[in-house]
Amino acid sequence: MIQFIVSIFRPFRKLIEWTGVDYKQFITILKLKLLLDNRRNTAFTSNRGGDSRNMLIMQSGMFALFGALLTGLLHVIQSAFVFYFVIHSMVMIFTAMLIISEFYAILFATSDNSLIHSLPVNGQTVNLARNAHIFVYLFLLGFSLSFVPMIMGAFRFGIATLLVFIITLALNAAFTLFLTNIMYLGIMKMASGEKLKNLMMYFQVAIAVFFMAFYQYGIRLIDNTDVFNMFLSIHWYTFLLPQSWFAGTIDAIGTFNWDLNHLIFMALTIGMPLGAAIITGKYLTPVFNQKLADLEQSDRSSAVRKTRKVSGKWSRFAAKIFTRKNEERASFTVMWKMLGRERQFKLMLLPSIGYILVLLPLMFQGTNLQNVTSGKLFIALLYFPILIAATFSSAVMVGDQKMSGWIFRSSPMDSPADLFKGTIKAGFARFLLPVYLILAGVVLFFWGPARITDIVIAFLANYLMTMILYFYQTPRFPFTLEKSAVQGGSNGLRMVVSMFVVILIAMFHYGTLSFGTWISLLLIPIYIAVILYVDRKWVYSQITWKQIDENNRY
Amino acid sequence: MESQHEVIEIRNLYKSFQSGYEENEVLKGINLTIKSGNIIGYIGPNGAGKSTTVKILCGLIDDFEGDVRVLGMNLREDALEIKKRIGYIPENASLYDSLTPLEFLSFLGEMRGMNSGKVTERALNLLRIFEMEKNANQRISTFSKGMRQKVLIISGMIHNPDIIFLDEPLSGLDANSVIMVKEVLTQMARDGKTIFYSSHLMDVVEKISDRIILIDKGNVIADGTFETLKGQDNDESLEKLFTRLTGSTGLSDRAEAFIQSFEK
Repeated sequence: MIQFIVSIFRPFRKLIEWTGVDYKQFITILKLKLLLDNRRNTAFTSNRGGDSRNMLIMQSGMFALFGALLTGLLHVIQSAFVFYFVIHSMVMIFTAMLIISEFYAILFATSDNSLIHSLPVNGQTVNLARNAHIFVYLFLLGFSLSFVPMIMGAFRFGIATLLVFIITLALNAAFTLFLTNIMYLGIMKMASGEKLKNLMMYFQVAIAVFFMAFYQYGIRLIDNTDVFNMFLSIHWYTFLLPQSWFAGTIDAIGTFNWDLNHLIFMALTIGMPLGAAIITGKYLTPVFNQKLADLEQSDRSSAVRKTRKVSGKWSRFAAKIFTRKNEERASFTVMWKMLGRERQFKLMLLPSIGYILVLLPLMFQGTNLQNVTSGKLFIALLYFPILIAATFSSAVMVGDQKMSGWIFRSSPMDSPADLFKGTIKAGFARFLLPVYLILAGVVLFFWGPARITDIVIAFLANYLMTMILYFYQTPRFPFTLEKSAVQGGSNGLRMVVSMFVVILIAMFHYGTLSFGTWISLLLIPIYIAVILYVDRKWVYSQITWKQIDENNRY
Repeated sequence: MESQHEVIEIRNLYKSFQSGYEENEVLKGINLTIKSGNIIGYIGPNGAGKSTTVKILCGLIDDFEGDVRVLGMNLREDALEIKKRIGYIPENASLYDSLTPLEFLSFLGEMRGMNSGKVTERALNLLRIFEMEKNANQRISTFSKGMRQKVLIISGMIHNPDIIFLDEPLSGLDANSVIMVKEVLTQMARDGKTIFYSSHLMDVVEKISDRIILIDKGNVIADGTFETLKGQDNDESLEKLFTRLTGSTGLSDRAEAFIQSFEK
């Protein structure tokens, strides 16, 4: 497959060399990058350290399957323009999501900078290889995702549209690459070093939350309006959307429609991505690479880097409330600090907090406030934070401290239980509790003090479920696994089962509301007893060093 | 041995890094001339500027002040030509973990213009010498630190460079491998190659170096053979000399204070 991909560049050899690129070196670097992609662990591979291979094919297959599932939606569309508009929109959304999730591996891969820069290879070659790699990755995604729809389109609108569609897919990838470069360069202008990395992380979180909001509210928009007809007529803003350009071009060729609008679409289809590619190659990429190099250098050179002084007042206070033993307290305190600093962890966890903020207004949508406050919607609000707990239990494993487990394994602890208890409690206190308090405030404000008992019960249930959810993950030391490895394996199934239990608990609470406050009051001591049992006797005391040794490297 | 000629000339080399709003000056005007066939021991305390010098000479950092000529070429103008003829063995370099050493070394060889048959043959040969032939097709991710270091060392030598820059190359190697690398370096120098060896391991530097350059806080503070550097103080080892010249006095007092802190 890699050989086939690189052979696509062969007809352009003279053109590539004309730009000052060493063609042989370019192909060697591109082949290497694709080989690394092909072996990179993704969500579809085992997380037990097995050799991963053919990952590009597997990933493409998954996307093709996903695209096939969406074909049913496309069947109802009559117009070629709208048909291809929807496919290109789908490709663009998926591409953006991929860029976000594969941010470090694809776009910001700096780990091999020192290796590549020590070789006799010029800047143009490195830049082209980097851009070609991202381009191939994006094109492959788009091609796989739209594979079934494009076959459908060929049958419905003619074989010519298929060929033009493939060309527009390539132009789409080139244009997305340009937009991505612009976006990240803008952020890089604002900061440098560690500050920049943090800014990038928050930017990614914001994008992820934005997509969630777009998905939630966009779906409702489609329910309420005839979205397909909306794009049938061309407005001024249609020309601003890249997917319109591509769809317009395909439509022009498929239906032999050469009116002014279609000619403009064609001009934009060819002109914009090509112009973008030239600007990317000539101006953006060199600046981008220089910024990346600076980023790496500033990390290493700064012997005098200032770090923000942390008083630790809150962590010590929270540790006193949540922990009993010294070992557990030590773990709580250090994890509290690390949870606030580990970027990969935050990148995975913070969107779940953002999602709650997105979903919150939806709960009040479509009905007046009177109806809402007289109902029992507050139960859903109070159990929302478990979404954070569910994400936390996987996110806390994510990080690049692969071999840091020795710190805990070499400690004189006869059981790893205290480490894990400290970790989960720090996570609860630092991330879940503040969100819960805000939601509890909302419930108190709208439903009044009568709901205090429910707030206490839901708090205990949240705490209990946070502990149980974490326990049902494979026991691994915090911050030691790649994100992709955490997403795969058996953890997903465990999570589904755990979430089912959460729903049952929330429904149970909901059910008790019909029986009056005294039943609710009875739940409080029961929950406390269960929590104490889980904390001291059951959940964590079952984690052994043997299990740890099987799942961790030192 | 071939007649000696100048292979590295450094004039007024300055380098600083921006750290937030502060300027961290790492090199403060280095001047050096290095001849072929020499083994240069480049030593200094942590943060002295050793790695930065090596990275500049290898073309990894290009925004420096001063003039640097390597193999008679200007580093600013002919960095690519220079890179073809030098080898760089970095400290703690990231390798591509999902590759096998053979794939990794083939990539490096091909990037340096070697044909794939030749590079495979040479890679296998060098792996055999380091007793890693059986690991040639095993992924680097499964390797120990020492094995990774051996792959790195081979990667810096596979194209038979004229100058080899080594930044702490022996970390993680077992005793036999250390002896072998030292022997390889000595023989390469005998064949006219230049070895620029940056390290903290004073005993190794003392034994293999023809010339020792001591750098501290971005300045060269001593330069010569061990015999000449010993001078009037007649330091019995390079370690003593290092301690004296870098001003690290009172080390035993500090060690005693360290021990006493447990008794409080």
